[in-house]
Amino acid sequence: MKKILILGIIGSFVFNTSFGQKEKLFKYPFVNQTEFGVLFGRVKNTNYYYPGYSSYWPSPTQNGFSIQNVASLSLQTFNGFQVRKKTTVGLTTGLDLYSSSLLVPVALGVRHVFYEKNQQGAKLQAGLDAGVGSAIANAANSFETVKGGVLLNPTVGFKFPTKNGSSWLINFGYKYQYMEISQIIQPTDIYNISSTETRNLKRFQVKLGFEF
Amino acid sequence: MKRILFFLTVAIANWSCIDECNQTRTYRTTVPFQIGQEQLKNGITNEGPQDLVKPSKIYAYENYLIISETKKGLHIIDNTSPSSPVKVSFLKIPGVIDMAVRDNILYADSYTDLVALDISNPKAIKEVGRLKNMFNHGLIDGISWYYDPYSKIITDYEFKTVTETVSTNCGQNSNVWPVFRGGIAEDLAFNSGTKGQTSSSSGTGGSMARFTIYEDYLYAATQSDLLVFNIKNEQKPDSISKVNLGWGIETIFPYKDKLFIGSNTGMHIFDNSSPASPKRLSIFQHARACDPVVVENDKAYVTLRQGWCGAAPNQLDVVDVKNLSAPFLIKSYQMENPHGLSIMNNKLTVCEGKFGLKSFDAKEATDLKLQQHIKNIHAFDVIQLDDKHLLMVGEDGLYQYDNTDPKNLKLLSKIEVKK
Repeated sequence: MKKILILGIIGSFVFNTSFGQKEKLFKYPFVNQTEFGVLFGRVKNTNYYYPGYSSYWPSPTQNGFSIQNVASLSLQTFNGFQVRKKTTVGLTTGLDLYSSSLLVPVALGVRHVFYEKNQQGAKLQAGLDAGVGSAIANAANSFETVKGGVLLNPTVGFKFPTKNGSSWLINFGYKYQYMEISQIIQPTDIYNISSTETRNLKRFQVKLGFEF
Repeated sequence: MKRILFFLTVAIANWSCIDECNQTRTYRTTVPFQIGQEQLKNGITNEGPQDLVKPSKIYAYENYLIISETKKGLHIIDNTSPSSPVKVSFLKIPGVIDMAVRDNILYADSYTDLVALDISNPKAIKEVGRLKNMFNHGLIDGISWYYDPYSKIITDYEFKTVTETVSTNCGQNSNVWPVFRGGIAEDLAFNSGTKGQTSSSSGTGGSMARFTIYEDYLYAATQSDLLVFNIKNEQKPDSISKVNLGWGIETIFPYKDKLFIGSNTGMHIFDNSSPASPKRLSIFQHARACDPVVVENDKAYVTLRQGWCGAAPNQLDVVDVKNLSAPFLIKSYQMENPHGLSIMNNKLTVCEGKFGLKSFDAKEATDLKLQQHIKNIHAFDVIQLDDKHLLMVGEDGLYQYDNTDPKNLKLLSKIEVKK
């Protein structure tokens, strides 16, 4: 099921490519922006001092922290219609490969060109995607359940039009993703009652892609 | 425009690329507390009837039922009419786990001490004897206590639920959560029915009980030893011997002049023809598991279940014990999660924990026939008082059944647990 979904998402990149040829199909011109990105972030690894060597209790005290750089990959495709000359609205989906779980973003997106020197020249483009990251494609596991959450992704970048009407894209952005991971406590476990981890992932994003 | 720029600047300044991950965990842990000798001595008091909270062991004596609340005390229940039992009183005994009764004298443990209490008037129970420092450690419901002879202080633990939030590293070097849990684990000690076989009037306790009375002797199994007390003089129980049994002793079941002692690795058979000094005849070994045992007609029924004391498959073993020095397995039956059991006149009743209560026809050891399976109740332990009267205790309370017809158990009454 999940494999089919992932294939479907990847397939939609290809599908859109061929679909883009028939321009007059819709009232507004169809726009596809497909990008490959890297999400750069930093993770704070707090060290705890546990007074009891064999259990969590008494509660641990913080004992310094270390910071680690992390990077994860992201694939995304924005499909929409150019409702104004400079504005495109549509739907964004793709795959975000965070270190612990794989999320499928489903977001409403806007792309707006806010500065251009001339029609053929490079353009400055701002974008905003807001929606949810879904854990549907995440591999099931009997120890924990992963729940995706709110996703906010503002970007700003350049569009370099080519002669045939497509464009190359380079975008810089900030990606916020909420995630909730709950441990599955076995019914025979008399010590653990519940454990939920909330993750606010904040990433700096660099993405490269093309538009047609 | 300037305002928007200002907001943007503030927003950007507050953004960071450091992930924020917090784990909120709720768990039970064990917290130590200490009890001094005086506290122990003055701790025994009579109180008015109370609701059942967490019933543990049951003991039947004449028309009374005694239900223990682990380490808290004993409920005394007048069971003259099983269809409407009446709570008479609650006897507070610090550290009580097991009890046995003979001739109106209740013997119970109170942490380190063995106390003898006169229960002829259940509303005004008097302490008549006390043997100090007989036990120095114990283990029940996953919690152990110990006595330090130098400071003369008992250290016990209780469960405490803790909720706390810690920040994590967002699963980056995934530190896997269920890690080690505090405390020492053993299965809930629940018992099943057996008859104290004495000429004088003593009661009926559980096979998972660690106390049993045989003639003038009280046997108390600790985790590693079997203590024998002479209770001929009721006022002054006397410790007479101590037999080492190895680790993991759980249950003690008297059958004829034999003692069947269940440990979590096997069943020990002791010859008790000279009750002051029982002698080991043999051991029937099995996989590490929790295992109450009952015996009838030279056949021992042992339930093994997965739990704190082991990970053996859930099953019921029927063992031939005709030749006590060489017991052998007749047949194993698959079970769901068997706890206590009882047998009388081939009526075998097995508690299946949350899977309910099962009654079997045990005429043929090689072919136990399921008669009835009562689901939707929680069953820890049973005692068959007589041919038709079955007591069953579970998480929800104490049930009394009429099992004249093992195919159709009739519920006589239920004492609810206060939720």
